[in-house]
Amino acid sequence: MMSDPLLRTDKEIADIYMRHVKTVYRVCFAYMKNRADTEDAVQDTFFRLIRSGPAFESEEHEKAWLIKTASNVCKNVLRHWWRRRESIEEHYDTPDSEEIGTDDVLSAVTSLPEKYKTVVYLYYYEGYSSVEIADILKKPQSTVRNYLHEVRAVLKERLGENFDEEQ
Amino acid sequence: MKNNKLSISWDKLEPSEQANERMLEKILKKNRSFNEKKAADLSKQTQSRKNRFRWGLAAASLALILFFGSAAFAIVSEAEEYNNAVAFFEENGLSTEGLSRTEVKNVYRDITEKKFTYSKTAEIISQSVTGLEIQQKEPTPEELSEVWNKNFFTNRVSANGIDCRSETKYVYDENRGFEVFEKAVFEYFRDGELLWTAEFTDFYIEDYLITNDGIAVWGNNAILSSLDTVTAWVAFIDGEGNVLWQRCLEHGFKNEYVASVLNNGDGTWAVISRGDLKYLCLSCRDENGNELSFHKTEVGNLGIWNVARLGEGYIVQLGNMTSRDVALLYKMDRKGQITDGFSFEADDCDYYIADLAEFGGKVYLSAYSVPMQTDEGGRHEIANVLDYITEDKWDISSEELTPILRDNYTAVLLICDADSGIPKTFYSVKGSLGGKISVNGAGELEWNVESITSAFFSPATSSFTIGGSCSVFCYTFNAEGELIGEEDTGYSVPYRR
Repeated sequence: MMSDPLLRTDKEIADIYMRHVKTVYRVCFAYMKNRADTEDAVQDTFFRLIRSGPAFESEEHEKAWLIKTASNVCKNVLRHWWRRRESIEEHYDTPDSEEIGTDDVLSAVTSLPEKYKTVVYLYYYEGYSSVEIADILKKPQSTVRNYLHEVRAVLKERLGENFDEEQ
Repeated sequence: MKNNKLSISWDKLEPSEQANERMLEKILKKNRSFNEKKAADLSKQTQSRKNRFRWGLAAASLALILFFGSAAFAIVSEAEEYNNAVAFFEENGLSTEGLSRTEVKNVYRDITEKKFTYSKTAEIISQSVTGLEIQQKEPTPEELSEVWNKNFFTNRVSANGIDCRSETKYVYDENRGFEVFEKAVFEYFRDGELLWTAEFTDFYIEDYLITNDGIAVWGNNAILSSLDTVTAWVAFIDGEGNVLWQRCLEHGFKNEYVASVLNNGDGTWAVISRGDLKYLCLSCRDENGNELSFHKTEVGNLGIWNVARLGEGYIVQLGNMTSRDVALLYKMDRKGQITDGFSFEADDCDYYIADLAEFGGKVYLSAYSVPMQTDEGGRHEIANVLDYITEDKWDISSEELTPILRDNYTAVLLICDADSGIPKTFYSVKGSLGGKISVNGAGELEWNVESITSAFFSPATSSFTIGGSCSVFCYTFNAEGELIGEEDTGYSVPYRR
């Protein structure tokens, strides 16, 4: 699949980008909640791919790696959020700094506590099972199941939907 | 499983064309820069050898590529180890604040490899176990290991020095390209020493019950797709670690899990399970695990939270966080028929039942109360505390937060008469949460109460927002229901919400 797993050509990077940018963008937006920070996080995710991305066995493996990396990138950014609060005025001068319009559903998801976001995305949007999610995120299966159990209650309250049932 | 409404909303979320061009341009620029640097490094290395040994040039280039390969592999492995270390810290309520990346990994390795020789480990553990003093400035690895095993080994407080742990092992599947379930390993410890292990390849272990006759374990099969059937398993291990039997619950459900296993005291076992997220099931099994009877009752979307024997039958706590049904109690006979139901609630507080136990013909409920929550979403137990913090107290100290959190909780021991079924408050302890409740060998009721001793606010941690620790006190009651003892067990358990 790759001519050199560690040094990728521009075409290879562009191909990976086009395959997965929407996925990475959606994961990042769940954390960052605004366009500018989301784009920064997307770029950082692909920078990590360039610097240290492994050889991928399949597109599924590639996607899982990017999702996990995007989540970690966003969490690292949020860990330093004290500094970002102090410099938040920077965002007002950058283009496209306005919030992306979101409906009730997306608002409910993006306002979830951090730990639930990637799990919600992977389960309800990508359709992964809790076992697969645990494998992607390197978390115990019981933790993932607990997260899903907790988030169903929260989303049900906010949206009035029963997330236990298939829809 | 996919949710259409979420899918529709999320589908709308994508970068604009301009944003795509902007991001891709920066990314490709980075890639070119990275590749040029690597090429320049490679060129320098090979150039220096060119005029010396022509036959050695290929070997030198290969060595350089291999070096880059191993260095890159090291980078990937390092990142993975760091992520595992951070997850380990979060799961055990340890703080990474002030630690460098290397220090986080070193503490992680020091604890998981059970060495306890790294200088930072003692500091991290003592920060997380407030109230438990490490007497010496430089504890020995053995002393630190004992502190770790006593306080972080499991959320359960040891009884008679017995501790159990289960671990799931995975193996790389060449065909699939990722790791899949291999086996579950159950470990039995006494006073910190591993006495035996038992392995299961058909299911991962969800929970277990220690009895005088042996240990019942239960769990579910590992699945790879949400379309797979989830089957429940029960097994029994004797005191020497021999698996005497294991059974798959074949009740025709697409999804079944075991909520609890109880020893009926007459050589039979009660297996309480939930089928297809709407059936409460009781399966009675003999000493060899063979099913003697089975009954299911449709109860709707209620989880099975706690079960205890009550006379000849059982008392079951069902619950649903969504509908805030957190204290629903049902009486069930030996055949699995629901015979009565009641709930425990008050006007000014919410109750959470942690455990049940039968004692002296009555059922005792270990619970805790929090102020009635008016918050409409998320953190029900700590909503009031979070409201206070987010008002303008983002940098709240542990010293200020701990008494606030203590004020939020009251441990409550409820007594439930088997005839009337109405629970009422029997005992309460402020600043605490109700823990495990059981009957000891002397026929006395032991109620564990988790007293909050420290708390800290950690908004950026993924697995909890308020962390801390609780000291476990044991309250002992005689057969007449009189309090006869109160003891600091010396154990601590993590607090995480």
